[in-house]
Amino acid sequence: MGSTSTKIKLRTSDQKVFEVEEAVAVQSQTIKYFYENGCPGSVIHVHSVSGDILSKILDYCKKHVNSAAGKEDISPEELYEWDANFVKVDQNTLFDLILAANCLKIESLLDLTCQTVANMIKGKRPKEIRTTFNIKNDYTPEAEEAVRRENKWAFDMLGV
Amino acid sequence: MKTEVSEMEERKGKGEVMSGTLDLSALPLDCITLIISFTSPRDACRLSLVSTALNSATESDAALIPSSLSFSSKKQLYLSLCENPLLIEAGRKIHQKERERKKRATKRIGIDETEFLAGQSEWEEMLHAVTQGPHHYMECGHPMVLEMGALNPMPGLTRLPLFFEIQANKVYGFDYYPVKLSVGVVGTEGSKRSAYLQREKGRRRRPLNDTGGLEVEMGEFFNEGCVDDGELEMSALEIEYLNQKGGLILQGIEIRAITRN
Repeated sequence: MGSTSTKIKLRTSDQKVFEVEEAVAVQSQTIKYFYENGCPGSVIHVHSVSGDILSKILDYCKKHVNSAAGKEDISPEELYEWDANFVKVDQNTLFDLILAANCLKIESLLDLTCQTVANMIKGKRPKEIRTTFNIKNDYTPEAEEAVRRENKWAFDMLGV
Repeated sequence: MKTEVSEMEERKGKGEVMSGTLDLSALPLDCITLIISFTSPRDACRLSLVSTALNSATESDAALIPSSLSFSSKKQLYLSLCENPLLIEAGRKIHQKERERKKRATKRIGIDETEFLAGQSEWEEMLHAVTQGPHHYMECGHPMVLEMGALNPMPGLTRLPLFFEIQANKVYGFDYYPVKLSVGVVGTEGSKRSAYLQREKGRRRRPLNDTGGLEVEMGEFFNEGCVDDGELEMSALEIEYLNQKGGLILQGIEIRAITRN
């Protein structure tokens, strides 16, 4: 549907409008679905994503589309490096990216961002994880003890 | 005319995404599950202690388990493997269990399973890589070698009885002649003994353990605290009688440490 130069209009939660190349926009399976099933030329509302986040996400999609299409001369290592820098953001932005990637169904971005969070979890004690991610411990002491017993082997090493 | 992406709002659950401090458990379950899948089983277990919401997330990653296994989550699968060693991947991998008793700690080591050894209590410091690759059939004249890291981290450890476990029902050819077993640090005189590998023969019928394996005691390894490093070699040889033998599948090696108390 349409040539590669076709633009798709996206409107974000804060009413910003983006005009995006079709090839870039359809990296999102959600946008692709609405684009293919909606009226041509209509504006697609991306309610759950702010302008700032969408702009970052479109950068990501553009980079990956261009490198896949050979428009940009970038080695896989450089792209990997680029991805690594892309997710060097504060936690709120990272979570927003996860939510947006999830809603927009951009699988590679979802993997990238979730992997980043996973790396922040690995090897940490429960207490450290709570601090890192601002999570409230909602266990009763008894319930906490029960879970601790069940998973005892996981804590032995760390001396938790 | 406008196309509404209303589905997004539903999927997002708690809604207001763009501002404020987000906590990890506010992410949609799909995302949390994906994040957990990028960690390790051990991390998943620790996550379960962080909050009740994350605990449910670690329990609900059923989609990540191969459907051939009837475990509700990866965590359950892993815990189960820690409790019951079993043969998976057609015997290529064996998971060890770890039991702590008052005065005796046992460790079962799976063949070709070095990854599972990592991070498992003090044993980690003591024993690294298991055998030289996936030799599940002990070959004639082919000793198993255990590489040994520093032994010192085990305080008061003086004696290591070594057992190996074989699948008892498949062995043949070992009924008339005993196998010579030896255990020792490479290059030194180790402990030697002989044993029949079939359960009916020898002096008495030996019991099978709870996993259906036959335990054979290989001998004892004495560590006087002076061996920091080196290779512990275990071998089982039968090269005197040239009858046909086979079916010897090694289930695992178990080292029982007797700690002074």
